[in-house]
Amino acid sequence: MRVSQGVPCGRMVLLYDPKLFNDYEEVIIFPREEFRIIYDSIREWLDDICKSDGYLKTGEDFLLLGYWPDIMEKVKLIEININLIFDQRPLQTYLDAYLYGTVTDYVDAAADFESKVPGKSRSSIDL
Amino acid sequence: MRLSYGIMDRKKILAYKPELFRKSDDLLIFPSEDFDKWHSEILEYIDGLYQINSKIIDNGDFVDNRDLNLATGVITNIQEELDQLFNPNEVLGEYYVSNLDDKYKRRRTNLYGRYMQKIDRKVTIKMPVTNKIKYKHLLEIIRYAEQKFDRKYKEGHTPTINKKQTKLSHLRLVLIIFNK
Repeated sequence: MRVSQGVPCGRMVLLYDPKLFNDYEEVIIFPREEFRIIYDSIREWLDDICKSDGYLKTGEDFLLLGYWPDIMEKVKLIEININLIFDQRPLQTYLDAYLYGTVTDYVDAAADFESKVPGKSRSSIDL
Repeated sequence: MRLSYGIMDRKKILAYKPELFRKSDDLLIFPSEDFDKWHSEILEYIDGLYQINSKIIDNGDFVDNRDLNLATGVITNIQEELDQLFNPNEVLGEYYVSNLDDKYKRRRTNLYGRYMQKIDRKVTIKMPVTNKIKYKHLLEIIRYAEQKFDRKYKEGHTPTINKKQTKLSHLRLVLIIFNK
């Protein structure tokens, strides 16, 4: 497919390769970062299925019974990711990164707790 | 995802919703017709995977290695489609509108529901032990004891004690422990 990168400039969008598109052709515009997140996640799920397939072909049929629902769940995730492209809501992935990225509170809580234990001075815990 | 349609005008693009993008954003631009076709092709392949799964739902059959081979064939097709998104010489097919019933697309096994307690216990958060947490821990023990007591009561081992009295006795236990 014909693809081009671009930069927003007011109401217009400037193209890197303007020769690719015809005049008065309708185009669709995505932010590159968000498109990359969806594209990569689909890739990962597909690779996961391929790896499990390589493992299952060496074994017997009965192994499949356990792994098949797992594979179908990954297919469901691929479908969700594909449908996210035309979804107007903000992406969930940003939220996930925000939730698992916070580590700051934990150190203070531990220090406060240990300072209340008798027999231990606080100076040993200070970092 | 944020997306906007636009139209080519003198080697620039007029965006219909330019307020969605920031100045620092890099943008990717596709022809909308081709992109819709590409999107519908991937949906077609995914529907194929659901059709392989449908024989389990309808007839209750087991899965063979042949089904697995079919599924991996479809998956390699999806991978090729993803590769050819950035290939300018790709020839695209036609639109596809899925007619599959929603009952085939529903998620069957929700592993989180079944093993909820086991998964939740694996989360390791070091919390400070406060009085409130101690109280909760005590209550858990008491509830467990209550369940066991109730079972025996239903079987008829302790017919003389009423249910209200047992709860009162537990409350007394809690008070005794807290006073210490």
